[in-house]
Amino acid sequence: MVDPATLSITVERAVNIEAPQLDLLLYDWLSELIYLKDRDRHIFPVAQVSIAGEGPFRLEAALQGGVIDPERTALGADPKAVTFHQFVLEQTADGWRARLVIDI
Amino acid sequence: MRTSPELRAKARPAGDCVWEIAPSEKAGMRVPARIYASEALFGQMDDGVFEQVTNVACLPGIVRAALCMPDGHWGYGFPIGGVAAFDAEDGVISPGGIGFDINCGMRLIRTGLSEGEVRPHITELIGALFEAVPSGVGAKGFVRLTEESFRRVMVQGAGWCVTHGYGWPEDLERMEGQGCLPGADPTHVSARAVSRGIEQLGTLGSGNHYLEIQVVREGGIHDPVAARALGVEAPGQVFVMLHCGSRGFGHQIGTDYLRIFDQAMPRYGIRVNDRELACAPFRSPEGQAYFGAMTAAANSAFANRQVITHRVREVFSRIFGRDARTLGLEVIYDVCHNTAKLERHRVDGREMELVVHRKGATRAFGPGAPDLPSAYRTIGQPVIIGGSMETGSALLVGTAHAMEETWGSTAHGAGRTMSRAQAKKLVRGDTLIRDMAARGIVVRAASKSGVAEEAGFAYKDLSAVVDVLHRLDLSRRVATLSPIGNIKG
Repeated sequence: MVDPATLSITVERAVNIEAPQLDLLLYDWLSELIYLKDRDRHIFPVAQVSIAGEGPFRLEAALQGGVIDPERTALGADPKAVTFHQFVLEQTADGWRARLVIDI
Repeated sequence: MRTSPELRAKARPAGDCVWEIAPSEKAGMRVPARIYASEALFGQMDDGVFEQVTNVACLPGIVRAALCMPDGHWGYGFPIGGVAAFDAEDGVISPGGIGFDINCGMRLIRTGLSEGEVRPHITELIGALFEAVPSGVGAKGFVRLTEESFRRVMVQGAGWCVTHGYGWPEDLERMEGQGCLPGADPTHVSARAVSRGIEQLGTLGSGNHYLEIQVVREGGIHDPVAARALGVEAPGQVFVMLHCGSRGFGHQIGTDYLRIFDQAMPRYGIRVNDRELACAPFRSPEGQAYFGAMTAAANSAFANRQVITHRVREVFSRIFGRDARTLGLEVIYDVCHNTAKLERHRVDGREMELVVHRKGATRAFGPGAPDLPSAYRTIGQPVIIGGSMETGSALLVGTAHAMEETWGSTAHGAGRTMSRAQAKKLVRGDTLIRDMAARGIVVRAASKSGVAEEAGFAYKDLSAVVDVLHRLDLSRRVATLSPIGNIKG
C-alpha cells in the first residue's frame, strides 16, 4: 500500500472480529485493514494479533500505524479487496500456511 | 485451482477466430465455452482463462455458452473478458462475474482543440488535471456528501451530478443507460460500504485507472461517417479519456456479498469449481439484495466519471481561457465494462429476460438500440476500448451481429501479457516516465511503481484485439486514439 518508512506512527487502534470459520476470520481481518485504509486513510504496519475459540473464532488485534500524507507518504498499490482466488489456509507440521490473492 | 494446459488443448476451432470447448470436456459443464481470438491471441492467453471460462460454463442457469473476448486473461472467478447470460428465472448472479470494481468503465470526451493548440500547454494541463482529480491510495474527492445525498447518488447516478451543477443535461443521453441503471437499492448497501466510499466521489483510483489526453493521428480515422457522427472530425483533434469505477464503495459491496454468497450457497444446493464464483439464485433474497447494492455502486461509478468530467472542463477552461462549451468538451459516450444487467435477448426464437454478466467486457449494442441518442441510432452504440498508456486506445461501434452472437458484448482492453510484478522487474517507473516524455507523452502518477506496472509491453497489441472484433463483426472499428498526456493513480 505504502512504504512504511514514509509513514509516521501516530495512530493506535484495537480491532475485534468474530467469524464462524478460521478462513473467513482471515478474510475478514485483511478486509478490515483494506477498509480502514479507505475510510480513515490509516495504514498499520505494526499489529499484535491473538486468535481464540473453536468456532466461532475470535481475533483481537492491537494496531499501530499512521495517516497517509500525500506530501510525504510513498504510495504503492491500492488494494481493493481480498479474493477467494486460490485461497488456502491450512495447518502444517510447522504451523499454518495461507495463500491469498489481493485484488489491486 | 488447476491451471494446466489440458483444457487449452481441448479448444477446437469453430470458425474464423472462434474456438469452442465442448461440455463433455469437463465434468459439470452445462454449455460450451466459446473463445474469440486469432491464433496469436489464443496462444497468448493464460492457461487459467480456459479453466475459468469452463468453470463459468458450469454455473446454474447459464444460457447458450460461456464466452471469452479476444482480450481475455486470467482473472478472479470469471476470466477478464468473460461474458455469460443467466436465465433471470432460474439462473444465478455472481459477484465473481462482475468484479470488485463495479462499473469500472470508460468515458470519452471530445474537444474542438487541435494538437497544435494543446501541445504547448500539455505539461501545465497534465499538472492541473493531476491536482484537480485526486488519485492513488487514500485520495479524497472534492464533493462533500451526507449519507442521505450519497443514497441519492446511488439511485440517480450521473443525473444527480447534473442536477447539482456537475455537468450538462445533454451529457446524460450519451451514457449507457443514461448514466443511471434501474434497480439500485441503497437499503442493501452496508454501512461499511457507505463510510468507505462517501469521501471518494471525484477520485481516479489506482492500478490501471487513468485520465488521458489523446489525439487522433493521420490514418487514425477508419470509418469517417461513423466518426463524424460521434464527433471525431479530423486528424489532430484532441480527446480526453477516463478509465475508472466505483472506488472503495464498489470494492466493499463486492467484498460484503462475496462473503454472503460463500455462506449462502449450501442453502441453495449450489457447488462451484472456484470459491470466487460464489453465487446465489438471481430471484433469491441474497441475489436480489446483491443486484440492488451492485447497481447502486454502478450508479456511483457513473457519478464519479461525471464529477471528474466537470473537473476536466474546469481545468481546460482555465488553461485555454474559454468556457468548456466553446472548447467543445462534449461527452462522446460513457460505457461500463464490469456489470451484471437485466436485459431482454432472443434465445432460440423467443425473447428471454437474462442477467448478462460482463467482466472486463463492454456492452456493444447495434444500430437501433433503444437507449442510444438519436445521433447514434443508425450507427450503433459507441464502444471505448482502452489500450496501454503508451500505445493508445480505440473507438468502435456495436453491431447487430454482436446482439446475436455475444448478447451485444465486446472486448474492453488490450489484455495483459504479464503480471504487474513481472512488469516492475523489467522497467523502473521513473525511467519509463522519462522515455515516454521523450516520445511526446507527458505522465504524472501518484505511484511511480504503478507506472511500471502499466508499461506498454505488459499488454497485448490492441490493434490485434480490435482486428478480431472487426473481422467477427462483434464491433466495427471507427478511430484509433494516441496518448499525448496521462495521469495515473
